[in-house]
Amino acid sequence: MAIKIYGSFRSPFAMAAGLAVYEKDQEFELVTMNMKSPEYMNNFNPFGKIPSYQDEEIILFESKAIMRYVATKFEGQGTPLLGSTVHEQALCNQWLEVHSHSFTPLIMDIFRTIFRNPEQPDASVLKPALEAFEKVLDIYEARLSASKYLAGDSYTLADVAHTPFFYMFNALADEGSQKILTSRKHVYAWIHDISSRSAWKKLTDRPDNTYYKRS
Amino acid sequence: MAIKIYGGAKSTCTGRVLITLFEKEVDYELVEIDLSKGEHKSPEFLKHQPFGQIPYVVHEGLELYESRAIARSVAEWYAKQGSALYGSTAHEKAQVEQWLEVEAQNYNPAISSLVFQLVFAPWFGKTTDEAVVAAQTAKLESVLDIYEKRLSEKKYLAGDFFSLADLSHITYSYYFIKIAGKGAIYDSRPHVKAWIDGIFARPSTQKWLKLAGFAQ
Repeated sequence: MAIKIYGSFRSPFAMAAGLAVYEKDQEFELVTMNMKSPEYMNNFNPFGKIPSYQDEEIILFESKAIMRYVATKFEGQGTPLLGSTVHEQALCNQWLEVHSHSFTPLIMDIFRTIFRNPEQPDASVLKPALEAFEKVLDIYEARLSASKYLAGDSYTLADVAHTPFFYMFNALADEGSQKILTSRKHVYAWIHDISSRSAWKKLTDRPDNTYYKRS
Repeated sequence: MAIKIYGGAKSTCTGRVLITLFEKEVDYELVEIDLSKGEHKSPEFLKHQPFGQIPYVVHEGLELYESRAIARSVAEWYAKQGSALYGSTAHEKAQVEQWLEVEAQNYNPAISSLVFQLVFAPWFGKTTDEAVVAAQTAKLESVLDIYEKRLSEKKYLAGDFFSLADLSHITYSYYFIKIAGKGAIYDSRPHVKAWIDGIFARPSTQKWLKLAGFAQ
C-alpha cells in the first residue's frame, strides 16, 4: 500500500508531514476526508484533526509523530533528518519542542488575526502579536548565527517543521510585517535555504497545494 | 555525574525529567534555580536557556532544554537500562511518539492553564480566572473522553506497556488532582482513573513526590 496522508494543504502541519515524506524520496496520496466525521475519528484520529498517515504497517496521527516515523522508517533513503551526531539528535528534539511550544502558538495568533480580516487585520491585536513573535525570532537569530540549521550543521526535522509556517507568513503577512523576518539576517538566510529545497518545491508545485500562492 | 539538571524539584517540567531519570536509573545532580528571586530570568541563566524557563540539563558537554526533548534524549541515551520507555519495536516507538505528541498538543494546553489558575496564581497572590477554569475544564474533559476509550482498549496510552507518553502526564496531573483537588473528572472515568492511579503509584513517581516535598 502506498503512503496516504489525510488532510489538506491549507494546514501547515499536513504540509510538514508531506515535506518529510518527499525528503525521504517517497511518494504519497493526499486524501481529503471530513475530519469530524465518525469514519475519520474512529479510524484515523480520535481528536478530529489533520494530518493522519497510513501505510501498509501503521496508521498514525500528530504531524511530529508522523515526521519522526517517516524519518526512521526510510532511514538510508533521501535526506537524513534526525541529525548526524548525538548532539544534533538531541538538539533536533529540543528545537521541535521549541517549535511546538514557543513558535507555533505565536505565529498562529498572527495568522488567526489576519484570517479574521484579511484586507485590514486588526492592528491593535496584530501589533502585539508581531512583537511577541519577534522576541522569539531574536532567539532564533542568535541560534542561527552560531549554527547553519537549528540542530547544528545538519538539516533535520526541526527545520522541516518550520518551512510551511514561513510559506504561509510570506503569503498572508503584509510588507511591513515581512520586515520582522527580512531584518534578521541569519533567520532570513535560513528561511531562504530551507524553502529552496527540491522536496519543498515538489510539495508547493502540487496542484492540490494552492492556498498560499502570493498573487 | 551523568546529568546535571538546573531546575526545581517541585516544578512540573523539571519533575518530568526527574521521573524519566528515575525510570532509566541514571545518576544526576539537581541544581535548584530560585524562581522566587527571578533567577530564571537573569542574564546568566538566559545564556543557557534563552526562553527563561526551567529546566535545562548538561550531559557530556551538551546543554539541552525543553523537558520533553530531555526526556526523549535520556530514553535514547540509556535505552539499554531501566524501563523500556519507548517500547520494544519500531511500531511501539511510533505509538509512544504519537501519544507523547497528544500530551504536548492536546492535554498540556488545558491542564497547564488549569494548574496555573488553580495552584500557581493563588501561590503568587493573583486571582483565579473562573471563566478560564470553566473553559479549560471542558477542553480537558473532552480529551479525557478520548483517553477513556483508548484506555479501555489498552492498558497504557501507547499499548500494553508503560511509556514516556504516560510518564509525560504525571507531574501536571498530580498538581491538578492532588494539589488542586480536582480529581472528580478522572474518578468518573474508570479506565482513566485506574491509569492515573497506577502511574502515580510507580516508585519513580513516589521518588519525585518525596524529593518535591509532596509525599505524605
